[in-house]
Amino acid sequence: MRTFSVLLLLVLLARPAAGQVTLQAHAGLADRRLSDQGGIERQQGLIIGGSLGVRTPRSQASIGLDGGQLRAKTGATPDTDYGRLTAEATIQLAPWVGFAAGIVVQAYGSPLGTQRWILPRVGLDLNFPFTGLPGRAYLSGSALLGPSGSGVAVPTAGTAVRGGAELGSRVAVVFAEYRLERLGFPSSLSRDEQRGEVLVGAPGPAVTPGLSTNRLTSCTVVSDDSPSRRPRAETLHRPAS
Amino acid sequence: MHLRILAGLLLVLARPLAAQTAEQLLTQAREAFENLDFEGAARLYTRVLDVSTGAAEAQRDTAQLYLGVSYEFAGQRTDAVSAFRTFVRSNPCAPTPDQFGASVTAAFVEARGSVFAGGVCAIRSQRLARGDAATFRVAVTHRAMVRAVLQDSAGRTMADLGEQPAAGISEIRWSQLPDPAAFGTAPVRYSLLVRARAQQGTEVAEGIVPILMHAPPADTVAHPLEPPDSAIRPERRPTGPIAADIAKGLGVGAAAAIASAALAHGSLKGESGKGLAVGTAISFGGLVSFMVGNGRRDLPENRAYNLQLRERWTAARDSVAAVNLERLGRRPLVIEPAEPR
Repeated sequence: MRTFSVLLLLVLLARPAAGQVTLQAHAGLADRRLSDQGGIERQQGLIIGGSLGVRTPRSQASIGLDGGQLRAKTGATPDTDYGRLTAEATIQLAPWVGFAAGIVVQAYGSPLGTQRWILPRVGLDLNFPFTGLPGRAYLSGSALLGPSGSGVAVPTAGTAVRGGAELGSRVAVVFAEYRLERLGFPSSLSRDEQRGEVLVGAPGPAVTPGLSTNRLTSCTVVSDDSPSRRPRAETLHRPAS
Repeated sequence: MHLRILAGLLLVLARPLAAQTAEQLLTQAREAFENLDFEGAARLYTRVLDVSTGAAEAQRDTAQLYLGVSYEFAGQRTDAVSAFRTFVRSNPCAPTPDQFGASVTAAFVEARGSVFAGGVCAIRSQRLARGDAATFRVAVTHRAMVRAVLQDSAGRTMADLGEQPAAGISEIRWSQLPDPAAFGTAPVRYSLLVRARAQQGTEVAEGIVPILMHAPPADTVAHPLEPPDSAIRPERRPTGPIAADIAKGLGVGAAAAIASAALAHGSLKGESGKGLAVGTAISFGGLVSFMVGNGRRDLPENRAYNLQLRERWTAARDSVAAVNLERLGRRPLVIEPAEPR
């Protein structure tokens, strides 16, 4: 709980005083697999979600909500409602790398009961902006530290990776992203769990309070090698988890 | 050995001593002349004219004139006329020496009437603009046809100033002047040769004087410098950053695919397909970005900027060239007398 408080404070502090407000919507396929003494269970289903963020050139903060129904793919496995609330802040250490910290609250609800987990996370975001088109490729890795929650099984640690690409034009931008979250449980439970997701979506317009509305697109302009014209690492808004 | 050294010393000292002697003789002759010892003065002036004295041309002219005057004052008219005749041959432009009185004038006029001489008078410095004509004064003792030519230092005829009738002191005009642009700032030496042919008889006379010609430098404007490379903007984007899009897409795509396989629980698996699919999509995105970017490498705004920069420079250069050409064309041609060699 203490860790959660610290991370929440970090998120709040990272919120820029003045910046662009960004919106994003996405949908995708979530595939949850777990194994325990009873065998392998698998649930799969469509999830939809979105996020609201504020960003400045050096930092960004976002809050996101996802949800959907995961249908059982193995026998004796119930269908599950899935919901996830994410709050995250990122500080850009360099144009191509940022330090991210946040918290994920996720819940699985089934006729058997509801599991709620709180997963604090820290990690690094790597950005590779494209030159030819507005867009970027990105990769991030996170460690899930000190998870807590309700339910029979509470994870003790976990890792998460995310890789994707944004690509667009002046009119529209789309992104595709792959996520994998792997959780570890006490060895006494002999339980492994992972959730893989494939998401596609589009960022909405970026709104600068008091100013005009801008599309979340930008293109790196490269004209020559002189310092004044070196490419600036202007990137698209990264979809929040 | 001692005799040789003595002979060498004599040779070295001979000319200064001779010059000094001519000056001394002239002084003595002038004193005799002023003391009305005209016969003594005539003897001394005759000695000045001796080649061994090494008298300068001006000293010889003075001696020759005063020799005639001394003879005339000594009552030796024939010798006076002879002396004046010699003087007129080498000084056709010299005026009649009226200051010595009527008898000397009469002797001088007689001498001038009995000899055919012609030549160029002293050259005046002239600063000639385009379209001007240079003028030279020539003198002949009798009516004659006078032809003037300009020769270079090798004796080649550079310009023919034409032939014209002359009597006494006349002026020859040179209107077809050379282009001053052909001359540097350093003076070039020429010779003005005048040939006089008596209209009656077959006598000819010739005179030659050295002249210098040059064109002073014009106050030209410096040409504008060509725009440096640093001022020229690239007209196409470099390929490197755009090509890197492929690497970015492939790298992140591969990382996503590898992560999906490596991080999944060994017992659960099932993620490789999704990771590979998204990884492929990421790679494809990089490829698309490269292809689109490669097709948009032209920078028309930079091309227009460079064109404008070059046109501005070209206009400035042409303007300066026109101004300089005009200023160079206005350079005067300067003609000056030269020291005889």
